[in-house]
Amino acid sequence: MSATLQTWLSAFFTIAIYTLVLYKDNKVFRFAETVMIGITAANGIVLTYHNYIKPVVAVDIIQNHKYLQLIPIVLGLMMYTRFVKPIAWVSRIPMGFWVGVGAAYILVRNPGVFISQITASFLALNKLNNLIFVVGVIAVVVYFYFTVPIKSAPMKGATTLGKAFLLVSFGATFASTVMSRISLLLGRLQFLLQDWLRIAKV
Amino acid sequence: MKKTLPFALAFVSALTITICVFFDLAPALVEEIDKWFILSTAFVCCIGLVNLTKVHTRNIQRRGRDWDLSIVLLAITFGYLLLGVVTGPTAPLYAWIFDSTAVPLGATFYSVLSFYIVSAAYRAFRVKSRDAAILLISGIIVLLGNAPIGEVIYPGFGTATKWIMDIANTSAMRAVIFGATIGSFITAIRVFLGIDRPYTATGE
Repeated sequence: MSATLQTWLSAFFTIAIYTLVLYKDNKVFRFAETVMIGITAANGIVLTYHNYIKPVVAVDIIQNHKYLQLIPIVLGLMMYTRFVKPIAWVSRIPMGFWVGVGAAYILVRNPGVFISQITASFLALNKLNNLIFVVGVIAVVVYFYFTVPIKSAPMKGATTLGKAFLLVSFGATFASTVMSRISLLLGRLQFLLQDWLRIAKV
Repeated sequence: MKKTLPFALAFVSALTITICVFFDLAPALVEEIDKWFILSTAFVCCIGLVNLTKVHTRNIQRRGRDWDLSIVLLAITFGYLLLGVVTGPTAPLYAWIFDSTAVPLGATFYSVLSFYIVSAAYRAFRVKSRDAAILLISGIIVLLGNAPIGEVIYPGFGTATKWIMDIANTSAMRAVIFGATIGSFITAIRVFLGIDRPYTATGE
């Protein structure tokens, strides 16, 4: 397909989305939104079908006769019973399986990562930055301690310090988000001006 | 039956994996359960499509708001789905459509947020208290540290940004992760023991 047509389509959809900000909610914006939902939903199913469903059905079950693979297929299909009210409870069975597997993985796989994170957090206190880091971790942990009311002065001081660390972190995260969004905006403007209108030089 | 069977399945699958992984027993069984987990979730991929079709078919029948767009949505979804299933996701036409629509639309949707984030920043960064001042100072330093103009205004912005990101931000986030991980452990134990049964709400 032509690259020019692709550029024009991309430009149309880019401008269609910006009409929400530059004008107000309108039919062109909603059309672009509709296309986005349709393409994304279909793409998700297509990728799942070609990466997981087709290989198992065509190779494992039909070619290699691994009929045990029918069990997860039946489990997955049970979820669709939620659209039929009298048997909607059947969809709880696969949910039970997924929740059980998920809970087990949290119990058996997370401790390793968690313990290594704790070890990495308690640095040797031979540098000022290391000291600030360790104090920051402890202060924020204390800030999230809700089991009993905090009344003593040292604990109150620690929660105040923890809150300050959190605020610095939130400010930094917010600034990083702003930067990434502005970068995307510049990318789209660059596309419109350079690739589509060709009025700005690369 | 309605409550016991899902709980039994949750308990048995959780217990099997826990025992097998902790005591390093039957790795093939764990691998098989892993595969079952992935495959069973893959077969649920159409549940959103069924719901989408139900909602928009009803909208078309009732001539509801933007019913014409509902037709467009169903046509695009099923047309693109059929094309993808028949030709595969690497087919030139399929990739061309994706690159012409979803790629620019996705990037533009995220970039639109930059307009709203500016107004959010105005509200969040108004210095009304000590807390807001800390938020503002940290945000401005990181913004200027990442933007080329920041280094021109004051060369120390880059170093200050690195310090905020590496020390203050990492230490705070590390503690938040500790809290979240402990919370997930507790939830997992509650699910394991059947104190929490989130799956029993399905189909009510």
